[in-house]
Amino acid sequence: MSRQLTFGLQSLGLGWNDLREDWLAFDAAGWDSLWLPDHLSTPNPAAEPSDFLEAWMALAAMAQLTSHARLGVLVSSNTFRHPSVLAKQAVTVDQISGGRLDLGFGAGWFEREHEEFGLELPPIGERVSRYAEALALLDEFLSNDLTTFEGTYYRLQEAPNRPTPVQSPRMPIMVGAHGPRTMKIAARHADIWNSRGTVEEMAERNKAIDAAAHAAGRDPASIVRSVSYFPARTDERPWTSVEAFTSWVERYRAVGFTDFIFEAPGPDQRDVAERIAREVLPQFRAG
Amino acid sequence: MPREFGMQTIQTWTWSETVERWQWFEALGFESLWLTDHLTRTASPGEPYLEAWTMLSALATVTEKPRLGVLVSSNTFRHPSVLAKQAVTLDHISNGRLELGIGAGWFKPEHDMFGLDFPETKELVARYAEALALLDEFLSNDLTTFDGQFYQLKNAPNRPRPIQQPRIPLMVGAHGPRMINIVSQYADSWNTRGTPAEVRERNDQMDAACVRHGRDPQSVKRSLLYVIAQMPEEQPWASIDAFIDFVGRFSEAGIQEFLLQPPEPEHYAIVEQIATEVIPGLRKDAA
Repeated sequence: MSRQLTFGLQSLGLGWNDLREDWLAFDAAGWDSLWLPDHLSTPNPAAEPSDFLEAWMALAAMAQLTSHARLGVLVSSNTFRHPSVLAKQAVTVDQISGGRLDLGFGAGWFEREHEEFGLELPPIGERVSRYAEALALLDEFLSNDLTTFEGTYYRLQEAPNRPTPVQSPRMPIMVGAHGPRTMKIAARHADIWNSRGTVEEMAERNKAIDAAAHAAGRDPASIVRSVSYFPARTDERPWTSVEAFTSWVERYRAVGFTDFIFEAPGPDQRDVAERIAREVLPQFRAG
Repeated sequence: MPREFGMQTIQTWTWSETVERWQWFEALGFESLWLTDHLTRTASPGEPYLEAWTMLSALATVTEKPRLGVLVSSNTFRHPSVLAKQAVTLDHISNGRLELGIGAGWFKPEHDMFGLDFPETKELVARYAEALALLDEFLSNDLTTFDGQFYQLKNAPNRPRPIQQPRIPLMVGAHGPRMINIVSQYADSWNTRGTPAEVRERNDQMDAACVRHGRDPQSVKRSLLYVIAQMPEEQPWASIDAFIDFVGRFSEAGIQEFLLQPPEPEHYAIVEQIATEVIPGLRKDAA
């Protein structure tokens, strides 16, 4: 359990020029991973739709422009693309980035955008079944040369995984899971499990993942524990100061988390974020 | 209208080969560069193949001038709403250089391999016609409500709008009379391939279809794709004279834009010679 702590940033709703500028700066400052959400429109049911770029296209372009940070979609909605097409996109971005992709993958949830864009959002039972099957498909396809897969929803016949991903046997799969059923699914296939919530909630879920891993016959230590921070979910404000950031990290670290993802700092939080990248992250990494 | 020249390459090439060669094609002055939309190589299924749209997005960051596109994107691979968001995103990344190539889809074996639906012809064409109408409307407007048989949008926000206004040009592939009739309603560029006699006949069909739909036939650019494997009787890369003869005969058949698959890299000397010594003259002398 000696994984070095990692620190990532997620950008939401930026235009292309701002996104490029921000990510080049974050990449140069030493943030470990950079993430985009998978939405076609503002993921807030109460808000008027504002500008939103498509995640995989933006990520592919940033894969060429950045050099160090790992990259991912947090998390790619299974309802938006056939898993075969997603798998080919993922391999392509892994190739472009020289092996820096984490494949974030979730079941899909935001009803309004599915209605707006005419995308099917099946009832929760079927949605999760589809998700479980797609995850098994991705796991198998990306790890093998040819895949034949006989699912209820997805079928492959000797589908070639060529070129293979740069990362071998495949790029890590990150699963976003917050409830018991999806956490069981995560425990079977995830290399990285991501969730968000209060320290208490996250401590409890972390134990649930351990139990689910045991039940699935997996070493719980083989699943990386990743926590996302979003201002809308809590009163905590890690960008207000170096101390607030450090305290936030320490409290989640104490309940078992090693990977921390923050909503990217806004313009008035940049000074603190730069100081954190310069002074705090190296100390955390050194242990 | 001046003649234009572009290159289409296949994704069997690695990422770094593609970057190097696309930058060279740009330096040679080709006006547009294109990928194909397949998940494996059609001429020999099983060969390595990268995904077109993510790759094109990254290629937009390493090129400056040429127009870019997928020739043509298969409507069976992605929901048209997702495709539309991808296209707008790439239009931003490329600063307005995208042409949105879209076709019905045709290569059934890869659909079987990857588990993608390949409807019977009637539905395949009906879905394509509807997707074209959807793309045309969505990309030109801020909010779109669309009530189709296969696709339904409800106030779907086109935000951000594309850089190109009123929308990204649509480049369509169509070869038979029924398809030509459908695409004539939406196409900014129409692409076909075949013998000069076939192309001339289809060109006349396109003229008639435009008139039928109340469009000026000259508002549709006539584009040829030279597919080496499918047009063995044509050898434009054999010599300067052969190239001039090729362009001359297809120009008489009504072609304005020549999109060419390059010869094998060992024959790139002739590509360079034709691009620097011949094409500048051919651009000018088109009436």
